[in-house]
Amino acid sequence: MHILVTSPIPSHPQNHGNRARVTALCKALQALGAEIHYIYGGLEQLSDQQELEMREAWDHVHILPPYRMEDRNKSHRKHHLLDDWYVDAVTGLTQRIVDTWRIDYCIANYVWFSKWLETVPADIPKYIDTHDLFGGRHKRLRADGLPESWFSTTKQEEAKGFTRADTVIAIQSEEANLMRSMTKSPVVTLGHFITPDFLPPTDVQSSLQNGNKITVGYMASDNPINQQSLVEMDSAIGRRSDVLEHFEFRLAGSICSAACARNTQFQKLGFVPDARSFYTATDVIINPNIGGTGLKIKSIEAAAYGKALVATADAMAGIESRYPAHALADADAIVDFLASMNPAEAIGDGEKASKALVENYVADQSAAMQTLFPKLFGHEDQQPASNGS
Amino acid sequence: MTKADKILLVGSLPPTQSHAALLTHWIAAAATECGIEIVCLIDALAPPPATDLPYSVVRPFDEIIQSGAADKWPRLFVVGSGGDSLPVIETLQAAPGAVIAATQSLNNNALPWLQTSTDFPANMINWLTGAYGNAGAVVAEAYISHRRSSAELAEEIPAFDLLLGNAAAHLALNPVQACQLTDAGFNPVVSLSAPTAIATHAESSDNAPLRVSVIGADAATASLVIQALKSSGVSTRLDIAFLDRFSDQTAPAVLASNAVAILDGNDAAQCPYFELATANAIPLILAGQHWASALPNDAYINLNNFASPTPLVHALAALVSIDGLLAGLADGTRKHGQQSNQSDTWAAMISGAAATAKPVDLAEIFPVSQMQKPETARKTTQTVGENASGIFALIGSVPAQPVLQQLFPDLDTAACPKFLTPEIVQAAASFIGLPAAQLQDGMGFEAPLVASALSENQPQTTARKPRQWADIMPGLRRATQALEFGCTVRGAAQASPSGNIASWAFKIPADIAENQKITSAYDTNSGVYWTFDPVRGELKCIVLTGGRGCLEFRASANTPFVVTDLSSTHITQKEVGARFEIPTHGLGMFKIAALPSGDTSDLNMIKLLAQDGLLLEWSGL
Repeated sequence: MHILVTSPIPSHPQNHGNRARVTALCKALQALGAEIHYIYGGLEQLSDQQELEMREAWDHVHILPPYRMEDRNKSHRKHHLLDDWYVDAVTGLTQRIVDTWRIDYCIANYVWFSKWLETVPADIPKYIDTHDLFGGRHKRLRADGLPESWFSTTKQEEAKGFTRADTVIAIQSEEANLMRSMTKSPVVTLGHFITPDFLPPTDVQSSLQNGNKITVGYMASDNPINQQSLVEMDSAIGRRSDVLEHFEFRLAGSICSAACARNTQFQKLGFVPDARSFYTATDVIINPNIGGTGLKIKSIEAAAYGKALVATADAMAGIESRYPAHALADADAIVDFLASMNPAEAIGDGEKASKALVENYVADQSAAMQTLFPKLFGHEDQQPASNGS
Repeated sequence: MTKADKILLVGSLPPTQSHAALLTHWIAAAATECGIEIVCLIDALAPPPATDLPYSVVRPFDEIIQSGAADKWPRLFVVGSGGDSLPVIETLQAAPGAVIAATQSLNNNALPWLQTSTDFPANMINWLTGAYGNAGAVVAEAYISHRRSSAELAEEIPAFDLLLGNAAAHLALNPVQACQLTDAGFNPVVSLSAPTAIATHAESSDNAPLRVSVIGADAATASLVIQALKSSGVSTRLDIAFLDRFSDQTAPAVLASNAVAILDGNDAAQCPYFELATANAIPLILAGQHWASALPNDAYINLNNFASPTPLVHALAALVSIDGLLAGLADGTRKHGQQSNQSDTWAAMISGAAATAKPVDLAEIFPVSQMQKPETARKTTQTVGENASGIFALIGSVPAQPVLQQLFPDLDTAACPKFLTPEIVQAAASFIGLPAAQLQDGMGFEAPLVASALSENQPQTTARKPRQWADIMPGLRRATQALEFGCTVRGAAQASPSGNIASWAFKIPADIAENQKITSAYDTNSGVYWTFDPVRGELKCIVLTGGRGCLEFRASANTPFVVTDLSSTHITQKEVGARFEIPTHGLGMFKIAALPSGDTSDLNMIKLLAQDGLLLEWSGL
């Protein structure tokens, strides 16, 4: 079984959510017996180490030359057109691969890097793994007070891209519903791939008896949305500085080197090579994310470790949960929740809620994989369909 | 002859145009004259030296080096400031011995040497700040941030400590250099002047014009000097010859002269023509070079400004006008020559220093490709003639497109997937210095390695396990049959690329030549994968031929190239090709460097190969 995957971003190292997504899906497919043909579109300059890791991870790897930022188009004054960042060399390469190998599925990561799907023979199922919604993204960012960054287009352009796929893959259910309103193509929700690795329950009682503060962790990359969330979290803590008597706030990930982290009230841990050790040493995980689209992978990752998660509703978009601390309004609400909770009880409840959430999530994930890749499950003739329509 | 009388002299030799090459030759010739057997080791890619030398010349791939015969010999290295000395420095690091620096600072080789390491520029900063403190940090910063360096700084910052630190003994060619080596923390032995073997100085008759050889003057100075001598009326009494330092005609011309003017060589630690002149009592005109400091003042005329023609004109006029001047200078040089020409002492000193070298395994230092020859085809293997048509999987050393098209005219070569076997990719990747997977992809091969009869029985060193052709084939859309080249693969038919002749051109595309960041590429038209080392000025390339035969490189323009396959070295010119035998496995690995010619002084390989390229000719056996 051969699966052709294109991606404008590298798969290694997994220090960004989108890279983690690409890697997790390809690894899951490999685990089911597929050979991965991975085409890297060159959106970022690769280090030798990155290239080596990618070549070791995937069965067939093709790396296109770096596509410099200054060479990328922005056809419209306010936004991009669908194929502005597409690299034409991808089409030639994918055609050659499809012509040479018996490719069973084609997956284009990002709708704006999907033009090559137009040349794929009709008998091969074609998917777009969307990662995010890019139609009107610039407007949403503006509305959230964030600067425009990366790729934004219109809903019409994005919908045009969706028609290239036999099935569109959404990373979370809320986005899947929006996509269904934009395209006639089936939409399947396939969340972030996680393997539950529940840590032992946190012993809050002993910690408090020993005079320790409760540790609250925020792990994030340095993208603008996360930076804004950190600024708001800092302000919220500043407004209720009494929480600092009982809680110690810790910051991990590349966000530590962002300018907004210079005078933060968080203790900076920097890039943490082993996420598990961070979660083990932290009592409560927060995700104060406001705005943005896509799946907040850090939320699902914290839940996969069975940690108590206190998050905004935005940070849990598309992740089904009825636990109140998973649907808070903003950073102030997170601080208020922490300040008012009974630590031992709330952390215990939070951990239970995370585990339940993850068990449901993994079951949905498995069903989605069977829907999308029936051949890998021994169902040769079954056509993929939408899992939410 | 005993073992002690034999020295492995590591350096470069003429026709390489460098002070180091000249000095290596003179040391080798002088030592041979003193009864020491010299075996001179030059780089695989060095241009072939003259064939009538009084000593033997070997390359790293030669039997004498690979067999271990030279492992215990005393070693002497001659290191200079040019690119030709980089391989010598590398060998010195791996197999320390006694060393002689051919130039006054070696600084010009410091940067290239540091650049050959992966920790550049940190190593440059460390070296300069370690040796010169804050001033060194400023110099490093000037280079790293602004690419600024200067010839004056090069003289001020010798690189002896950096480049020669590993040597077992240091020989200084003159007192100034001895001080520099001492400053660098070494305990140098000051070399006496090398004895000069040739001593057939021709005396001229009284009435003949005075013969003067001038070495190192540029063309403009030469013209101005001739004009000035004509106007002064002394030109009829002078027979003046302007000589190239590196020409093989220079030594005979010096011997035939009544006086010699040496104007360049300020960078050289010792000028062999100075030795030749003093040994033969030939009066000298010098330009304040370091190496002249040992000469008594009455033995030469010193020019206070060698960049201007006037002091030389005055000196020449004085030689023909002042009675007794020439004879007085000749007496001075004769006395110096007699003092310094102590062959036995010099030979003993050279032998003694070289003997400080400890035995090493030279074959390990100079690994020659150990790729095993593929097994002969199994009896059951079917062969496919030229009538093969359509789409096949091509496995092994799949030859360049022109050869492939000659072999199988009806094959849809553009649509045929290509696969490598582990032994071919291992050898090629190790030669080129890239991870195997990267090279495979770069050369247009599919990722899976196909198990060959050879690799089935070998422990695997590639990261990825080779697969049987039968396991790969079901995943291919159209190629259901396979052809093997230079290997034996279960289930594949033998391509038997014998008897055909094909010729084609290899050129680097202009857009790549203009983009100086690209230093390696695969040329699909010629089937050549190349990688350029800008520090050494050499191009490594891989050419797959599909099987046994002869591959010839021929220069398509006037610039000659030296080509080595690490088992032999040849020069290729427009009229003469460099011909190499390719073994059964069909993997050709070469190093190529441009040689200076009358037509061009720009030896930028990438530019030359973009302008003119090389012609390749293949004849299968």
